Amino acid sequence: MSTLKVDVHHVTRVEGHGNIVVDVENGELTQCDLQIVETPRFFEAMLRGRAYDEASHITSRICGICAVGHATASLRATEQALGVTPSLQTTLLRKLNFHGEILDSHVLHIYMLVAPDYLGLGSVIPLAKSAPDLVLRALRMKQLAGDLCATLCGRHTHPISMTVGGFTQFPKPADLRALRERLVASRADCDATIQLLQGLEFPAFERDTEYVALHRDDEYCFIDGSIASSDGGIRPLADYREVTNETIVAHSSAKHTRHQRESYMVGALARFNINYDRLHPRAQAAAEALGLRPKTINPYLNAAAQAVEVVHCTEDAILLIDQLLDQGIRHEEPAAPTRMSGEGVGAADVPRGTLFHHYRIEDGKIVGANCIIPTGQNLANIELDMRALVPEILDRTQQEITLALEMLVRAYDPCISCSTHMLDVKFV
Amino acid sequence: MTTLVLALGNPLRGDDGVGAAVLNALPDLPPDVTGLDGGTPGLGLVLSLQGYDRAIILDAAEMGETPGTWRRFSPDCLRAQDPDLRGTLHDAGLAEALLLGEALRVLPSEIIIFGIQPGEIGWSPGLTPAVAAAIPGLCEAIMTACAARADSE
Repeated sequence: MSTLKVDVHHVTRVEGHGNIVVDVENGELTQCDLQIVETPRFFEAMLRGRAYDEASHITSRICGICAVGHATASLRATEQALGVTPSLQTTLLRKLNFHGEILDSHVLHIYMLVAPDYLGLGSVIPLAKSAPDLVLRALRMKQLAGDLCATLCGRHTHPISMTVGGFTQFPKPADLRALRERLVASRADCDATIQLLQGLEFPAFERDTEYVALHRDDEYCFIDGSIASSDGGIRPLADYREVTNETIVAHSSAKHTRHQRESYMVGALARFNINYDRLHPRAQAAAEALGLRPKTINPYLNAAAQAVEVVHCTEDAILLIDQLLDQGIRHEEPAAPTRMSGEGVGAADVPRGTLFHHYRIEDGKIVGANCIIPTGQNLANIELDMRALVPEILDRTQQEITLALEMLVRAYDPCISCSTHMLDVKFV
Repeated sequence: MTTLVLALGNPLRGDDGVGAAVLNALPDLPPDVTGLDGGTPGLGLVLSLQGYDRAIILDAAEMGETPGTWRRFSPDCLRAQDPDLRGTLHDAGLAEALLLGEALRVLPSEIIIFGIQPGEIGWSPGLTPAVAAAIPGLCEAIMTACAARADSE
């Protein structure tokens, strides 16, 4: 096809509104944009003037999926700014809570958003008719993940009991034991998820890029740590701007980012590529079953990396519960601020990638805030993937090209409203 | 037979909390009837309904009536906004969840919906007087519905 115009207005099965616009004339790619058409939401401005302990509750509303992730990054930023050192119990409870959110989000993406494409079905409804066991499994896994969050932070989404320095309520040992039992039972669902992914035929597209994720030497990192790049270099969180280098582009209400190349990727595949060694052995075995090894450079395999993380988070959640039960749950007061003014950066590797919150606080009030969301960091990389992919598949029909592009965008699990800073494919 | 009385809605948004308010106002339920405040569960609603013979669902419903007016109707009367669920899955409501439940063949054989016309769905908790006034009548109708089939068994 020497001349091609693709115009997908509002890509479906992604969160929020974005358009794909591709224009090929006489075999030359003249336009290939991922247009972000949502309005900005001004959360950073909303924070200004608010008390430091309100920030996590306000910013958790940036997202209905990554609410725990935003709250966690927010609390860590505030704690850095005000010299708060949370207890070991708080750290363990936050990690466990975080796993619940990763599980919930990844299961939603793999089963409800990605699987219908690969099984040749338009959505989850025909999938439910042809494979009810598969959809019921997804709902069951999501319910467990939601119940895990609710047990730890008071409800499924938008955590209530996570606060600066600690928690305001604590799970009962019996509740943790019940969750543990369900997590152990869900190993069968994890295995079935890996089997599902083994059966999907992922496109053979590959493009080498830079991968960025949080990193720690002692664990598969989701909270804190340093910023690591697959191209080398580890930076402290405080230097996040040297990695994100945000720039404004005309066709997107979300900013683009670049680090050592023209673009970089964050998310499950980036974490897998950088932190593979720290995955739980069962998760590494799952990766092997999927033929996934670092460094994997096929972005469509982000969903496979998510499935590996589903196994990891399930196993690590069981270990965290054991540790919490062993040491006993104490009802402790949150660690108090040691100063009321300061500046801090908090970071968490949420389901879609690395999230930064950066606050300046004066006399207990927030005077400046900056939040950099994973999808925003992936936009430039998605566009470069699209530019590399289109020439490779120009021999296909317009319908096939459009689907390949939509599936590529969906592979990143973009959360457009959060980043608005994203997606609709336009072949103009 | 087992019956689930399921309240839906967000009590932080004015009359959207009427389902939960009615559930709280119900007298003691018979042993084979379970009350559940389901909140705003999206597609997760399917799992809540699984395993019951009958579901009675309480929810605020825009019916173009005067506030506080309520009606009993069947799921056939609902129109899904996004019947194929091709969108974001963020906006899945009762109609979409029931479609998914039907596709999965896990729905109770009988579903009764009590829809209550809200006056105001704003950004603060609390019912408007007209909607609050409808609660006693609704409670009576729900208890009658719970008893109906049990008696006929």
